[in-house]
Amino acid sequence: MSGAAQTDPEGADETGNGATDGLLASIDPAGDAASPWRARVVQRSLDEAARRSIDRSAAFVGATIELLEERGDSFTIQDVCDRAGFSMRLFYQYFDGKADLLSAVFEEALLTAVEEVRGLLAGIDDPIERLAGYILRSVSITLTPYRSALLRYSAQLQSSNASGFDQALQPHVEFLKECIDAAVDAGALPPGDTDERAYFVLAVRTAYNHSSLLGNETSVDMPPPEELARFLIRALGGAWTPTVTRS
Amino acid sequence: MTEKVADLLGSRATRWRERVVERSMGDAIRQAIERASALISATRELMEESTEGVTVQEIADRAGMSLRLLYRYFESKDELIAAALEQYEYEIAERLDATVVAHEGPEGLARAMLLSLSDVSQTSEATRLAVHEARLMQTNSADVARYHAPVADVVHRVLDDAGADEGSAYLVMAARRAYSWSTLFESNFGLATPSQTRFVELLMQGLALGDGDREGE
Repeated sequence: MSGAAQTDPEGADETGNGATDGLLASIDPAGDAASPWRARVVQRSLDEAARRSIDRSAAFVGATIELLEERGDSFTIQDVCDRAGFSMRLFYQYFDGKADLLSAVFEEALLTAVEEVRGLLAGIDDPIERLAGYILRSVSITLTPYRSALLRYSAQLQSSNASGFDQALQPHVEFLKECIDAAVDAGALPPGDTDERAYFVLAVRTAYNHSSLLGNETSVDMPPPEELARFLIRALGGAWTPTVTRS
Repeated sequence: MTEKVADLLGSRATRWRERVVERSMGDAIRQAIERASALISATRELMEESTEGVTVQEIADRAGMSLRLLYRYFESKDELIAAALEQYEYEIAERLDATVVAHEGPEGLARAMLLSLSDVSQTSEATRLAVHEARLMQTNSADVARYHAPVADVVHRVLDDAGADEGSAYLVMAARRAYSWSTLFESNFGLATPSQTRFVELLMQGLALGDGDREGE
């Protein structure tokens, strides 16, 4: 991912960038139509700065993901900088510290996970199967140092920074709400409060994930993921039976 | 008499010796329990009252003991907080037990238990204990499991009687933790946290208990 930092700036599209419009207006308040070259030059350099910022932060995040995969969360910011090929000074231009960096990685990981699930379920039309597929895919993962570090971080984030945690989960929220609405439209679930239902599925799924990856904290045996999916779909008023049962 | 004492007495275990040791040991044990309980109560009170971090010195002061005496019973503040969490869970289990005897029929009983279980009091103490729980889960979920055992036992027993599937007790325990964290940390994924009654209805339906439509069972 660190290769992204070397993206050719000439490959930029010429259209105005919404994020920089406000900045541009403050530099050139008259919106000087007589000297369009000036606006163009400023716009181009701003676009470039924005892109550079995105590329560099992506390089830091990419390096962190690599390090997490290799050795869990026992690494320093210096390690991240070495891996990304940037200085510590530059690092602190983008991130507050390790917690801030980890929260960026967490967001990125959750987004990627939903994109993967979306891809895997692309050929499945039945809305209940999609819902079950989402639940199964999002909990049936094997523990790697990377996931274990992220999961530990997730439990910590929810207790210390709830709004950051909730924010990072938004891609999951959106996907789940889509699945639930589609199931209601198809008559596979009775009508109901989508938000409340999505909350329930996400809450229990997250707790299940914590138990399976960090160790079961309940003192009673965990059922297999298929049982979790069956329970959650039944809670929403639907019915689902696994096609392949585990022994 | 404990095995350790019996070992110490060895063959000289004449009856008067046993009696004397038992009496003096009983006092020591009683004293240890009383002091440790006082320290745990002090910890819980302070967690409820103070907005800042609680120090061991404050805990010792509140319990009217020296720091040295405190360390005779607890190795660290973390150990004290863990004991507070264990005590808190134990009290919830007792409350659950009391709730369930007052209800008729296995399903009514299950519903009453779930209602009691999802009754999350949003206190400073509960929030701080949950933060500690979240931290402990990252490193030592086996300890957390031990603290949850009394509650899990009641849940397991009641659900079993109601004819719920194997694995239901776990699902309820997981849902309970998620729901209480949502309430205590004010984290609901930007969605709506269901009311306690709605939450219990979702659980009952998920467990295929209660009046909800059961698919041809």
